[in-house]
Amino acid sequence: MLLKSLELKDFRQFKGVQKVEFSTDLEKNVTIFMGGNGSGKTTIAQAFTWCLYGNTDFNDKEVFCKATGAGLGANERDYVKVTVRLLHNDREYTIRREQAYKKDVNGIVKPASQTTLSISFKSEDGQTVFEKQTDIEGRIKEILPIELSHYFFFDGERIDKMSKDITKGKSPDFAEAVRNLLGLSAFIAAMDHLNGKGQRKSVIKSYNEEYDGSSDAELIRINNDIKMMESEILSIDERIDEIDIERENAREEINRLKEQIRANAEGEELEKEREQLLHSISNRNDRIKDIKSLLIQRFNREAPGFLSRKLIQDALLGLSESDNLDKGIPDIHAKTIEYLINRGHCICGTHIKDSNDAYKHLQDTLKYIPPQSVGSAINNFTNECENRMNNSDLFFDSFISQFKEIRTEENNNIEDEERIHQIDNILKGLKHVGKLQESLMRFEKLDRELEDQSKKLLMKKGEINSKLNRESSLRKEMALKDDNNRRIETYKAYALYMYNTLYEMYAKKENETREKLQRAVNTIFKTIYNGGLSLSIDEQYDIQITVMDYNGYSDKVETSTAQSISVILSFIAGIIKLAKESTANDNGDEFLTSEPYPLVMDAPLSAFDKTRIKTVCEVLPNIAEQIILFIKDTDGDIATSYMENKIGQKYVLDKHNELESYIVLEEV
Amino acid sequence: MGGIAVEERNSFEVDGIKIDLSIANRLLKRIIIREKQNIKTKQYAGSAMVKEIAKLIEEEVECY
Repeated sequence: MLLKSLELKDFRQFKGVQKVEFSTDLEKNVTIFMGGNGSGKTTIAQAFTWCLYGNTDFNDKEVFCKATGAGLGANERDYVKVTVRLLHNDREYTIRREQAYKKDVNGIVKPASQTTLSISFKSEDGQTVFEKQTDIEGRIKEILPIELSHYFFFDGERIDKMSKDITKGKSPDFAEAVRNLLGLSAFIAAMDHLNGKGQRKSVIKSYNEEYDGSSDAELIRINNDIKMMESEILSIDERIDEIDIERENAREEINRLKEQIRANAEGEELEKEREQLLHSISNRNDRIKDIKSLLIQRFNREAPGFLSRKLIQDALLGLSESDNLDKGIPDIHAKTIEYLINRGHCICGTHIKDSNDAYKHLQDTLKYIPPQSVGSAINNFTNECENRMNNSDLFFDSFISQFKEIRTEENNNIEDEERIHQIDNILKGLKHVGKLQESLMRFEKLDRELEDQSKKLLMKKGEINSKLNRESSLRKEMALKDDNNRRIETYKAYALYMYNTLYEMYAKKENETREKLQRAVNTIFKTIYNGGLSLSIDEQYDIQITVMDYNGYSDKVETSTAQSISVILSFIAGIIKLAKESTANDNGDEFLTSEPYPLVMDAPLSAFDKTRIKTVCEVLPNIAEQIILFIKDTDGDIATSYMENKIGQKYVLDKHNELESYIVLEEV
Repeated sequence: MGGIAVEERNSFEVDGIKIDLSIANRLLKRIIIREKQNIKTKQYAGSAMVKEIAKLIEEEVECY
């Protein structure tokens, strides 16, 4: 298939009719579209998908141009149309899809019909022939099966999904589509027509039906028995196929669950860590409470002394400078004076009588001696002050030390709480391992049951086959007696021989082709990526990526975006290379049939560095027969300089506003 | 003959019936060519191709 032109009529932001011609020149085989963000690069790439398959990857599935829709009157209709002209198997096809839209009285533009698809081609006598509607689906499948469309219409901005698809999870249809593209379709068709599975007609089935048993009741019985047994074997085969698919699904689920359990095992560790952290926080909180209590006690006890140190010091200094304040007699108490007064004479012998001078003097002295002595009070005060001063000597250091201890514990708590918050966030994304384990056991049981079923069915099939062989031999024996039946038996033998031969050849050829593809893909990958990775292709055409240049490591690896794009581009370029080689017919293999294919790439260069952009630009145009490249203006200048000699057509997408873009042809 | 292995023997027995390998291999080639043509032209649907192949077999074997 080579793309010749694309015509858009009111497709998304491309207002009115806009047309592009693609370069089909063998040398200058690159058509380049350049444009800024939102100018419509992806829209043009998606126009192919809409035209061929009636769908796009856009979230908004309405493809009618909103700018045109805005100009419609109430109840007015218009339509969107995409026309692709392409060459396929030496025939030029015109594929056209269109859909009517209508504006309702509320001013909303809605689809007024389903999309319609038509395919036409020019017959040898120049007449335009339209494919029957019943044949259209088959023709599209033959031109480019939808399973492969995402690879040929490569979208660099949806690389994640493609990357997963390419390593695992492709449908059986994908493998068949690749085989067809690689030229094995004639084999597949011939085997199917000779002895196809299921209810479809085949040469061998038609011969089985042609046995003439009219002359022999026994032959009729045998024929009926054989038909019944064949039908039974067919049912068993179908059920075994179903079981295979069910087992495949169950095993995929088992692997997925095992991976989840492995990933979630980390969750259990995290739960334990969380518990420990909570325990530590609780212990620290108890400790903080104890320290705070001690701190308050100390504060109550020592803070007044500490806080009043300056006052005390000032007071003591003041007292030391005021000795005259103390008029008392040291160690003389009031009781001593009262005793002297009652005795009537002093220690010195002076008489003490009421109202004499000695009496008056002693009465006066009573005012200055304990218990009311200022001296004693000062003494007591001084002692108290000294005590308080002594007690508060260590207060500050102890207080600071305990305060620091509290802060340290609180900071540790904050750190632990932050870690708990992190763990909670991780745990939110993880599932409960117990439940996963339960599901795993359920699927493992299902897998075992299916395996049992399959074994039993195979045994039953073996028994029926033995009986069928006996009956078939008997029928042959009887048939050979009859000319017509003998002829049928002979034709059938030839058909069977050819089917078996083709089956063996196909298996061999498929294997060779797959190995050849693997070599081609690796060669291209090494040129583009230039790293120590190696690619292998399994029977389902899934790609495995392994590290080559790290001694002792041969497991699968997770790839970066640039690696993923390189893998996908290499895979599809490998297919294109082989398809091109089969077409050239220079490998001497007349049994393979294929044709060249284009590579349409939307934003493939964004993830690459300059060196790789250069390599991709140099390599791909030499592999694919036709390259159509959509790139943003910043990558465009680099790509243009690297592919200067290969560019046959160049377009710039001119964005007028969010709803209108125009395709402008630039001179190359 | 391209990718098909030519049997050294001249005949082969399938279910007690002798197959002339030169006829069978010629037939194989004709069938594949017809299939390749049909893939390009889509001239015959599946059931019609079954009839075409049956016709080819009968022609070749009858000649024999």
